[in-house]
Amino acid sequence: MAKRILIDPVTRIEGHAKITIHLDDFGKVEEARFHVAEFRGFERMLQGRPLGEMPALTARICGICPVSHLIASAKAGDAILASQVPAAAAKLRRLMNLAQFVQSHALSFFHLSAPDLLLGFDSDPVTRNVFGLSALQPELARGGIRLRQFGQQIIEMLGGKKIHPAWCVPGGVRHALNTEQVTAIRQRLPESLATARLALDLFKTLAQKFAREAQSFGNFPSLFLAIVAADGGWEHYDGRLRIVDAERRVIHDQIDPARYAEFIAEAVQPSSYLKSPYLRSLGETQGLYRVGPLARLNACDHFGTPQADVELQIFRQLSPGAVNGAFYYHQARLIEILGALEKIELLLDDPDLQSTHLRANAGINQLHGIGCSEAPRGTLFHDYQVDANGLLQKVNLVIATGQNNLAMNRTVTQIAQEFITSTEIPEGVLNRVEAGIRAYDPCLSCSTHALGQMPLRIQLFDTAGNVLAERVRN
Amino acid sequence: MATAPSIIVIGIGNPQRGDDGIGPLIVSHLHARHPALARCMIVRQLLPEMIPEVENAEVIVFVDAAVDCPIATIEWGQIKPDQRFSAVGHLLEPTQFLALLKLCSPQVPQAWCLRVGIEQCQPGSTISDTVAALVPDAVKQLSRFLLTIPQLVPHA
Repeated sequence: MAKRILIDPVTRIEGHAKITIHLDDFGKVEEARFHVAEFRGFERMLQGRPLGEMPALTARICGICPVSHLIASAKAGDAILASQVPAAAAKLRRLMNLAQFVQSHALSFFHLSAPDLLLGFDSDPVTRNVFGLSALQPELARGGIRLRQFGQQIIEMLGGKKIHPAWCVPGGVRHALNTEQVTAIRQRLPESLATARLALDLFKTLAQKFAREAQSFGNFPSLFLAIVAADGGWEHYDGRLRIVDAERRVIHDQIDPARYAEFIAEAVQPSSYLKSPYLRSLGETQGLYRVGPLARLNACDHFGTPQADVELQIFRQLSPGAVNGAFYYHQARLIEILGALEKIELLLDDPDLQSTHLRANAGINQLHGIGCSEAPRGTLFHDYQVDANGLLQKVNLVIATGQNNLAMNRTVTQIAQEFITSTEIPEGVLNRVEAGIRAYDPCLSCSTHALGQMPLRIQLFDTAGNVLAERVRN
Repeated sequence: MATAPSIIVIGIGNPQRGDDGIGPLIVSHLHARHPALARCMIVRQLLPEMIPEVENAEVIVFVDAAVDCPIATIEWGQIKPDQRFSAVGHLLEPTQFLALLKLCSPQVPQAWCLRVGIEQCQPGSTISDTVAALVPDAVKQLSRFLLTIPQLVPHA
């Protein structure tokens, strides 16, 4: 008799989700699904609000990556004002977005995923956490904690607070850095770079121990979408869209992000509040694509900083084409921390960071504007339609985690097929299924614009939908 | 000559979730009335990245809402590090925060927790009158306690 396994909630991710695994009549895994069970409806709530409020309101979608929404929203506002943002404001926005990459990636790697890698997927779940990590590698754990704090400190310097800073506005930013703040950031960079290096070198060593996981965690051919610079370099704030295939062949290049809807369509599934974007030209079943660190490194031609470029070349050696294994999201994430720190260092020399010309003032000049930037988890689109008074008429948010939804479903299916051999699911297998999701660092608050925390449950179902077995972890 | 130990008072809670905001409210009143008694921090949640901000403290006093105390009562207690941890996310209880601090820092502060029994913490609601009425008493107890710390924790 066919069966279904349910993991609810999935742990050590941002938000609340569950996984169901469906077995066929012979007890083999037929399919697995990642369900996001929370709903918030931000796109509807924002209708009727004034454009100027949008960055601060949309930042409330998430406590982990508010900066990403702040920036994409402000850029949508820039488009509606049809204004040229002062160069200094654009550089300051870049600085905040890079700091966001550092703090968010540090959380994902050091707090949520490193325990699996250092303590092992089969280790005792009681110690498989940040405490276990601290006991085993105190220097790494402390460095990771300080790295996240460093990223947040930059955000706080610019925006006045670490979470939900109302600093980006349509047309620019509210204020710049002062000399003391520039010095304070500069002083923390050597330690932060050393931590990023330590973690990256450690990951490359540890990855060799997890060959089976690397082979089976979302390792399938797919498309990858990211912003790239005009010269094809890694980009996070401006730039245009590039889509590459599993061989790293460029399928579409230098697409204006304002044309995203020509290329990306959004499907919904009855089993989840998470939308499922796909490449329109290939349809829902063939158009699966991935975003985020893995996609950015697969899509770009170079990173643009010395240490990250060396690491990118090492990363390229993992595969002759694109690196398809979701397990390597971790390595890509660590390379991005390294590169983001290097880019912060370069930015600090720019006198514009202390400029007073930070905002272009304009009225409503367009009724439709699209803002696009790279969030730590992937490409983010804010699409606004306003009336002549600047009140929001329609809002569409295309979030990185949603864009990875189809890939996450395929990932849990692949892991389940590799590791589940009976209806008895050892804890280590349960953890591997979760870890496959964790590799994407999904942010469910963002992707469903939801509220809540996040426990884990696995259920086993037969073909008639009866629950045959269940495991819950809180 | 002995100097005063460095003391941090941390109010934990979300003012937009009803009585959960009582910790921040008490600490903001304490800071307004007795700014020299301690360094005051207000946080919505305790997170690992706050550790660098407190790692030189000799004493930490947490002020938090409690659902397991009788409503509108104040409970005091010294707390110790406890690293029993939920696998779910990255939020920490005060005892877990101390445990992580112990693993990451050479100095572990002595810690106390003032807990206020709360009535409700619905999203979007404000602090209930019953619980808000405790603020003056809590500030008084807290300030008296902070004045006794140099005797409790003699500075080397």
